[in-house]
Amino acid sequence: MTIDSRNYFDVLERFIALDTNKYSFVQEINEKLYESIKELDELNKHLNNPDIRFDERSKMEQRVKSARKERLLCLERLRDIQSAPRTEEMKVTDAIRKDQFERICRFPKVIDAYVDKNGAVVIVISATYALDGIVYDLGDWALSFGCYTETDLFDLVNARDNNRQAGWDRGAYPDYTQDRGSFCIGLHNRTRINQHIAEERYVQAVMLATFVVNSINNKAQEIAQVAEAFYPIVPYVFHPVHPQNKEQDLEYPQRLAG
Amino acid sequence: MSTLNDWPDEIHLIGAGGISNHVLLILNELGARTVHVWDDDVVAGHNRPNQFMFTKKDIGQPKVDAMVRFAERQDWDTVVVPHQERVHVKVDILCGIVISGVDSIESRRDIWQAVQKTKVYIPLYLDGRITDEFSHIFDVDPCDSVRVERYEKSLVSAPKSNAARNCTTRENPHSAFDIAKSVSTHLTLFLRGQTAKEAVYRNLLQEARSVQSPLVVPQ
Repeated sequence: MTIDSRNYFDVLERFIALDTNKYSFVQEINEKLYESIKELDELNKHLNNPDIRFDERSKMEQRVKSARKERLLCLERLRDIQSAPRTEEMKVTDAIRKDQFERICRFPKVIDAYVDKNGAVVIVISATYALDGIVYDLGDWALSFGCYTETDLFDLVNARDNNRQAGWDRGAYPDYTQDRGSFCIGLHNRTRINQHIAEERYVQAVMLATFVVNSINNKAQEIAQVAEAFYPIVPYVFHPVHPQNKEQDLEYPQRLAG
Repeated sequence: MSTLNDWPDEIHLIGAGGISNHVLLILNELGARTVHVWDDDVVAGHNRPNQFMFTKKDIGQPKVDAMVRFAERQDWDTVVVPHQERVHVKVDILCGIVISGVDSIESRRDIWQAVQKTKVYIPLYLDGRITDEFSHIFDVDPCDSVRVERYEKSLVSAPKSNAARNCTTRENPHSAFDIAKSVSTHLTLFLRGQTAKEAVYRNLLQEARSVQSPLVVPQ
């Protein structure tokens, strides 16, 4: 893993904090916060309407004041929770989370980890496929925890182009990505990854995601087109290793760009 | 909530000129955790006399970055987040307390349009204005229609005066300090949940009582 050691602790801290959101009292505050923001957004729309009656406007202004108060109160409580000393229960969970993160970092296919602008922990997974003695580059994929999409507890998007030479229309290997650039992992795998995250089994979630992005649909027609669709990786070089993983002496092939 | 240290939302300071230099100092004194500073200008030589945060080395550099460097040199607890851009109608991320310290009505109009977009999230908008020897501050809740109407009337360009201006008056430090003092007062009152109007009334009442008291001295 090439994660910068300064980043490492930031990501670890954020990874541990992912669980903070799961405590029921935090969820309750988050729900209230969401409600107040929803109300404020709605009021903003109405207040921008120039045809609104004066008495209605006055009522809305009062509602804005109370919704603002509610929002600030929620923000204050969330901040207090973050800065409060950890309880015994939290300390145990923190230790488990730290162990999980270290294990994830030791995965040879995990090449980077960072915290994105929305505060989500992103694990970058490298994808390759070996066929007839040649290793092909399938790109890098970013698995995010802590960003909630409409349906999932994670997001898996393309982090680096896989140098695909052709798409569906040219009869080569099918596109893995969906509309938003997220990886099409299939309903079954998606459900299982969601389940792992919901039950706080992050290591298993990363393992499954790694397995999925490193695989090719098992159809003779598609496998036959791999050589045309992807670039081979040559030559093999030793991959830089995180200081904590030095004893492991990990060797990992690094692909050439372009 | 009595200090900015307890304020859980954001603070935006728009403009990085004479007013903002002094206001940022006040915000740090009041315990602000994070302040977003917005300005697209670079430091020029003539800025230095009344914008004390900029050094000779900062000339030609973005003002917002120079302010960040100043905060770092002083080892402030306040984190200054630079945004090297003008606030205009397309900016829709203003949230929390917004303090404007710009030097033209056009810029104020642009800022006001941006404030209007997310007005429900902005409980306090302070607009500081200085002209030569005078200073004035507007304290607006963008969702309070009465105060909004009053403020919007002030967003009109003043006719250009032909009178020759004494060049040194523009560099007076007391006007900017005065705005910073007013910002401090307004923020403190706001955090206490009071309005400036109430405070003025209370002060007047107190003053009246103190004047009356010698008259009722028992014989």
